[in-house]
Amino acid sequence: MFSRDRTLVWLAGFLGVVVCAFAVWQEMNPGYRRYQREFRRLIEERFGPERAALTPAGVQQIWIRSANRVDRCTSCHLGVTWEGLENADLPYRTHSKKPLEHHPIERFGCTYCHGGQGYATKLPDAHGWVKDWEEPLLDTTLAKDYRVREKWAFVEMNCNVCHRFEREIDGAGIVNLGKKLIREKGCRACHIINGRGGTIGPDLTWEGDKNPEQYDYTRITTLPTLLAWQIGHLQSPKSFSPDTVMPDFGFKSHEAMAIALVLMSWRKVDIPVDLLPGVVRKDVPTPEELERERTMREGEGKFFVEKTCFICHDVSSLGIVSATKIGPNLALAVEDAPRRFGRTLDSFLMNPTGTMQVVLSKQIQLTDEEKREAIRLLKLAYRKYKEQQSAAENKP
Amino acid sequence: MSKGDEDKVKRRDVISKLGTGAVGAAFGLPVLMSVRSLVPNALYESPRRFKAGRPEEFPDGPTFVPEQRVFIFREGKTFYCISATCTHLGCTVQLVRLGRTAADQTIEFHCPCHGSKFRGDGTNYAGPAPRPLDYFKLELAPDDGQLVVDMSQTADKGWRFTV
Repeated sequence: MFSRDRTLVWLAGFLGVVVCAFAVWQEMNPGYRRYQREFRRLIEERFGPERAALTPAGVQQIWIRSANRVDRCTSCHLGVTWEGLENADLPYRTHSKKPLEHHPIERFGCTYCHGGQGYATKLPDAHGWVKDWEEPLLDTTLAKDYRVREKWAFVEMNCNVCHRFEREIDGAGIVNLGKKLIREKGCRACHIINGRGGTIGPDLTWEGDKNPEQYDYTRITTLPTLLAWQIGHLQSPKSFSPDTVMPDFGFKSHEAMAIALVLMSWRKVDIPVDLLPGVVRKDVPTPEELERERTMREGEGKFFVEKTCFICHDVSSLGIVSATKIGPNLALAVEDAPRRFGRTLDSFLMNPTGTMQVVLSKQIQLTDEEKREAIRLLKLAYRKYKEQQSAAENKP
Repeated sequence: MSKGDEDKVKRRDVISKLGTGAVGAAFGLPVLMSVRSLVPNALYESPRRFKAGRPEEFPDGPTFVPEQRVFIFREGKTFYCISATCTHLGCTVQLVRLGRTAADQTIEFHCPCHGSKFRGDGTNYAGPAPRPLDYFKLELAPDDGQLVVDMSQTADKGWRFTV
């Protein structure tokens, strides 16, 4: 019989042949072919053999000429444009009608909205189920991972990449909530957004492009991602960066998620202009918004913004609006201080007690001169408040 | 000769055939693969087939599709498609209505570059154009029933597609 060595040589040879044969077979039978066969069977079952004969074969792709970009998703997602497959299983299901009305698939492809790697022809590559993949597929699984209520929250985030300057995007609920909060909470008092805003905090215009490697994820117990960092930081800024002056706004988790999604959508993506007809291309503020922002940054009360008093306090008569309203309205400080502390405003500010003692010794350090300026401005604010009150009473 | 010797000869045959086969495969497969690589799976160019819209959306008479440069004609339930690419040097021909009354729908195609002229059925009759305008085949998309123009397949003059 064969010796042991001979058996080994034969086995090795046999194995070599099998490996080669497998490689050839795999090359001849790419994964999308299996989906195409299955799709043909589905069409034959539902619509008869005539239409099944017309189903596509081979790599299918959408070429976006101006971006020189291809999406080959339709090689497997074969039912996207078919009518009557609305209840079919993925990847054969019909795409919902509404988004395609303004974004016909022949012109926009798939990945601008859905993410993923459009040129890939294998499932794991295309969907980006690879660690640290830059463009993950923004599917419902991802929404589940982050426990967002809105199934398509991440696709909505991608809506905002092109539609960032629009106040509202039809059908993008969670992103609209984020946009609304960003306007209402007065983020622009400290941050530049689209070229307008204060310089106390960092410029947020291209926040979504920041490098994930620059962040410290030790505080994050879930997925260590930039989005998780943003959410955590919005809910508790001080625990993520101890020196920050950014206040805790008391955002609920879905509110923080909404804002974080908008922040992450502020990315530079090279989208050819022919794909953006009718899209608002720059941030156009209303006159009221402009005036409000100007008052905050340059008006008589700008001292309270620069010294970050406004984080907790309104100064209503000077047009200073606090996002958090943790403390009382400082327009009334002149009569408030004696009532609360039994001392005049001057004496209280020079030697504060209680919470303000802590705040004014640690977070906001004022020189005596600055304190005198604060007192002067608070008296002005009180006078204005009284004037406004009497004007309002005399009106009717 | 013993039985073992006969076996030996046979085995040698088998092994030499296997060897030839392996060498053949080793050289043959790369050749096959290189030939296969000349036929790409996908190209970075406009598809030769495109959806033009639902048949009922077309008005009677010609409709110009600027992106792919074709005219799609509708006559009730029949459709046909004429290329707008001049057969001379590839400029886009323009549709000219000759009829002066509503009843007279006579049209022609004139090329603005070198003055080639084509009758309404695409026949060239003046200028440098060497042959008539191409006709493209039409079909219905199986997925949503839109009219599909197949620019990879030319048709004869007089080819009609009935919905």
